[in-house]
Amino acid sequence: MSTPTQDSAVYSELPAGVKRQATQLKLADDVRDGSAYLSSFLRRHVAPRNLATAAAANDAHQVVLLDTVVPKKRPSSLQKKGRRQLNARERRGVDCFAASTARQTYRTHVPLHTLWRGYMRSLLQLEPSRALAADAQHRLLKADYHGCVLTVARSRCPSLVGVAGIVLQETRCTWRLVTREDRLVTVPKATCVFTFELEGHVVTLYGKHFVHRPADRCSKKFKSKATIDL
Amino acid sequence: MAAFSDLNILHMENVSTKEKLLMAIKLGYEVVAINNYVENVLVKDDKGKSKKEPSKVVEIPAPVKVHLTERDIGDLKVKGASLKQLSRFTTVLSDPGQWRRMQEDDIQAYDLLAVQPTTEKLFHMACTAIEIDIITFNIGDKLTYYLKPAPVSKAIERGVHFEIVYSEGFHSSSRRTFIANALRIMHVTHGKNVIISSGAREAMDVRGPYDVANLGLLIGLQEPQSKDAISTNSRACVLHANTRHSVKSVISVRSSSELKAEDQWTVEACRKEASEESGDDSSESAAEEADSSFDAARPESKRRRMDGV
Amino acid sequence: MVRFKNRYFVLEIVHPLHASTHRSVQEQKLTSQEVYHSLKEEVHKSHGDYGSAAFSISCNVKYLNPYTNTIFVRIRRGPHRFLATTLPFIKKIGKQDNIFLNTLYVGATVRNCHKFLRNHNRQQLAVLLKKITHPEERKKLQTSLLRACVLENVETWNTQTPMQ
Repeated sequence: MSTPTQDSAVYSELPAGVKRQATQLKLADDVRDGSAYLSSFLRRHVAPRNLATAAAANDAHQVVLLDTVVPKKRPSSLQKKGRRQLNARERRGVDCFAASTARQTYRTHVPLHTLWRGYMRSLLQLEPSRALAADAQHRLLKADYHGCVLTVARSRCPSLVGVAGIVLQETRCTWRLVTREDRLVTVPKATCVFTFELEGHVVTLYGKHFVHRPADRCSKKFKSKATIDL
Repeated sequence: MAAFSDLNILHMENVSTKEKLLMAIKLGYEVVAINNYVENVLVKDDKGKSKKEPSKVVEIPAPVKVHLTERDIGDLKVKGASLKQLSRFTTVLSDPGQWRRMQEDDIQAYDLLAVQPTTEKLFHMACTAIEIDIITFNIGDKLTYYLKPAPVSKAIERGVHFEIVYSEGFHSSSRRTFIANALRIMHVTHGKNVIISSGAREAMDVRGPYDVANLGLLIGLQEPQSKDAISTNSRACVLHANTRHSVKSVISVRSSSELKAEDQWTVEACRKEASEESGDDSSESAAEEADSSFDAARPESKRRRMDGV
Repeated sequence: MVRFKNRYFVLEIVHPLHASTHRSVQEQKLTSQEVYHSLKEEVHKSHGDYGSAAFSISCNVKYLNPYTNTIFVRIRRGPHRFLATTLPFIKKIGKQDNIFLNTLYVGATVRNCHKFLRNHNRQQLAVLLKKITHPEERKKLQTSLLRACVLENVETWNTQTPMQ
């Protein structure tokens, strides 16, 4: 009469008294020995191909799943750990584009303009006497305008005409300028025509066809549009 | 509403163009395009094939501008308006090779470019491929090809306009053909991008703007559309012509010397900045000598300039 | 009852610019009958029997000024389209051969047409002032302009010679 072994969780031994009477009860050999009974039982009822798995699982003390279990999906907020991108609402909450109004003076941004002029000079290889080369003109489409002194030459909104300042921020639809009066103005691109001068060349930007984020403008292929009307 | 325009006043050698302009002014037109019509920009050789050789190049006349005194434009001045003169070049498109010739500087110098296609294929080319502003027809004669909706709608999308010349309709022999062709154009364009102009060979061919709008009613336009045909659509056509001189119609670059006096204010802010910058440079040495007081920003900007440029 | 609506066309007969105006007034003085018949003929050419019939029952020449070559034509609203679309094609009226008509104004009442014509004539006087160089003619014109604007002194009215 052996005590049930620790690893025999599937079966338990017959009671001691039954075992003593085994011969009289004419119990088969394998019934007396639990593990032998188990393997004969498995051999009788489990398909041969699954037998090895079952036996291995038994030996390896693994749990064999008899039904397929679909793992529960974890909520998306918990799925990705660590670094993840902020959505638009969170980005706005972070408020990284806000600048304190005290710092928005025209004078503090004049060096930015100077920097921009140097950048444009090298980008376009400007010479006041000669006309701008064709490829230089195309580079104007993809140039960065932060620091440029833009003037609204024409606009559908009369109050915007004449607004001029240094570009602080370019978004998809607007330009944020700081004017000489230290006013931060947000000018919509779609309804305005802008001009600036560079080394003897006057450049006119038709805002209606410029409604793209600066990052997108670099890779965008521009197609000729029907009209340059406001 | 946009100003009344007549975009086709023919410039002919023996007839005074100034007289036609004076008539247009009297009738109230504020925008006028003087049209140089050259039938073939390429020279044909004996076998009938067009070819271009340096020695046989067709001379294209320079754009015409008529000098008008204050007295001449008195009719408009009284209303507070002024006459705007544009130059236009029209040619018959009978060969695809002509387009290459039209891309050269002497033709591109004109404000407006117009073609008169002769076959369906060339009409398709004019509507979809080439950069022109106006498509005209020989409206007094029967149209030799069908106007299909597909290329026409592509042309409307691109901003190309279709022109109806009304002076042809005044000859009793061609009045029916004129109306028939005009109706055809109307059916296929549904009144969009249509301009009506005089094509005046002489001063008495021009008609007043309200009469021309009534002509529009005759050929199937609605009232607002027919008024547009001589004002808004003409203006759109001229603006489309301006895109030829711009980079992909997004940016246009000109020399500062070309900027008119009344437009100087548009670059004033830039110039102020530039002059201040150069002013700083000249006073740099003086500042180093004398111990003048600058605001906090100044020394920083000087430093940056030396690094960046 | 449904409202009886009219359209009043203010037309101007335009001669070639270089033609002298004196000759046209004295030699070829227009009558309203001539104008009516010329218009009817043209409407018949453009719009056939129906057009000229509609024209004949509803059209009148209301005012004719041979000096300024201005005509008021009244026609019922509806048939007015026949007249409107025919006007550009008219090349002669009565005995006057090389002319065309310029529509200055289309109104619904004759009163508004008169108002328009008054303002139009004032403008035309100002235009003439720019164009005339002969000093005596200029002086005459200035007098008539002042009268038109009632800016002249009342005492001097009797002493001034009437406008010719």
